[in-house]
Amino acid sequence: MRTSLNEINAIEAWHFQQGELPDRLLTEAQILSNPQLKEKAKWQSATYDLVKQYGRDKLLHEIRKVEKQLFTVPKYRSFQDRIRSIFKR
Amino acid sequence: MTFLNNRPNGENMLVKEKSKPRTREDQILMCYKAVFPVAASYVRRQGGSLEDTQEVFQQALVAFYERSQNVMFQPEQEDQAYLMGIFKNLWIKHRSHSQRFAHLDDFDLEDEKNPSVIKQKLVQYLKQSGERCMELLQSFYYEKLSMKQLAERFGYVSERSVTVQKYKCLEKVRNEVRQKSLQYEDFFE
Repeated sequence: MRTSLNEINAIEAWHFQQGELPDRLLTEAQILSNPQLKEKAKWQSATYDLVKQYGRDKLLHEIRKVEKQLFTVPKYRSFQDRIRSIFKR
Repeated sequence: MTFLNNRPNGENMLVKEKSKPRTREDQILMCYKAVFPVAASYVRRQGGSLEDTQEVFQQALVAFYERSQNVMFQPEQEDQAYLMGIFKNLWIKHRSHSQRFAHLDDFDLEDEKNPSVIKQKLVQYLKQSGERCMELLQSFYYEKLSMKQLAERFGYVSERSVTVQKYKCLEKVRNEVRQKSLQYEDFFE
């Protein structure tokens, strides 16, 4: 891998606390002493957060799709009747 | 690719059935069939509606999924009961939040359920600028797929090539986040 990808790899290991402790401590020291690397670590952390949100939105979309099917498709009629009866009481 | 693909024994403990569900959609369907009626009865007894149940159940499934993807996840109860426990906790929060903010319109609360508007705008921008990279990254970091599964899903010949591609995507998205953040400085404060 080229140097910049190795750097991303090192930041990732530091961020998720993976790999050998001496390697992570070395990365941490480099981040603290190198403002450019510190910036990269900051944006990489923000990226992980946004990727998580993207994955969560995708899962929520799938859940809503399944729910819509369950409440509208005729083959799930018995489920629909069961739920309807709960809220009719 | 199941809800519980990181369990040490690889078993689906959500619903004990002979045939193991194959997709995440199957798993969601099974969760609805097994637990939603119990959740609906619970909400009904508390004076809630079907819409309340649906909204909170969706959030409970997301929370359950994320917890089950953690390799350290070791629920002490059966999974159905565990999901119902999450649902009850979220229901209590939903009710207290509804009562507290019932008089406020358009209240933007930043929490797990309601990510900030800026965050959603950034996610939308990243999706439009490079959906394939976002798909690859979320498959690894959110779905926790292995490199082998990732190579299969995205058509790479080896785990090595998909590993390199993952880091290239991460670099690309990181640069886009940095550039775009100039417009949304508050998000990163």
